[in-house]
Amino acid sequence: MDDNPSMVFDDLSIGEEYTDEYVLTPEMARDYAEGIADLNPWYLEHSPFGGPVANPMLIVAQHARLFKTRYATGGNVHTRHETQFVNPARIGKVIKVYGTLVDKYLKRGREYLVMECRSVDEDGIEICRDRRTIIIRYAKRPE
Amino acid sequence: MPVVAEELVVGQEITPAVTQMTLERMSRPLMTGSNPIHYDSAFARNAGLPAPIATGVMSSALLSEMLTTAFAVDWIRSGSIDVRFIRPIYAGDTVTARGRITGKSPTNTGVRIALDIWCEIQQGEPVTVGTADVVVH
Repeated sequence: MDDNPSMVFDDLSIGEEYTDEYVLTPEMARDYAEGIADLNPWYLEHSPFGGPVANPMLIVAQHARLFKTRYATGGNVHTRHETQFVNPARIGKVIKVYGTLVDKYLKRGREYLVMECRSVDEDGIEICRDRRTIIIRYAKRPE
Repeated sequence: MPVVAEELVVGQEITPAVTQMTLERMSRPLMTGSNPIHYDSAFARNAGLPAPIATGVMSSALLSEMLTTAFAVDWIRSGSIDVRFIRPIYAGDTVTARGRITGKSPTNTGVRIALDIWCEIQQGEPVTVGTADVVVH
């Protein structure tokens, strides 16, 4: 059960910051690879970077967890992301994720949020950064 | 095999990637982030959707798979992607990622390759559209 308060669009402040961290485990890499049906050995066994590295989109997907560090959310729909990959994410590393709410707006009755995020490993190596746009809930805002 | 920038031509399409979305894969916790709109039919209907939808990042992952095949380590070190999810993808849809080279320009370290990229479902209807670029070293 999520003990965080519900996310309320009108109460969100631009500039609000979020942080998260997780260990990038081999199990996570395999589960993601099976989930997207991309069993590239780079993500599971070995890669040109040395040991296995994460599928780059696995790191991006974890940025969606940031809002959950503070709010109970459900039904968010992702509409856009602009992502830059900078370095491979090595399996076994702790990944730290930082996000900032940079915009919010209403469009055609739906509530949009824009967040800028970056992932950095435990050695301070930047993995990727992105700017993502979501609709808080797909159902339109009541008139 | 290393990518050779000189062999890439504006207008050239890169090798597509294809997958079929299944509810089993869409429902995995790592995919859904515990968001019921991706696995709960009743929740999706209440939100105004006919069925659960795949996360947008699942189509981005297919695009990234295509770009990793095309550009190998350069994609992971220097790729960027800007995509919009313009229509939902439902369980059972066959999704094809495609890309076409739109530009080449020299940089200090290599050649920047720009592409239009998109995912389409079985009838050829686009569901995800955007651009990508990568520096080939």
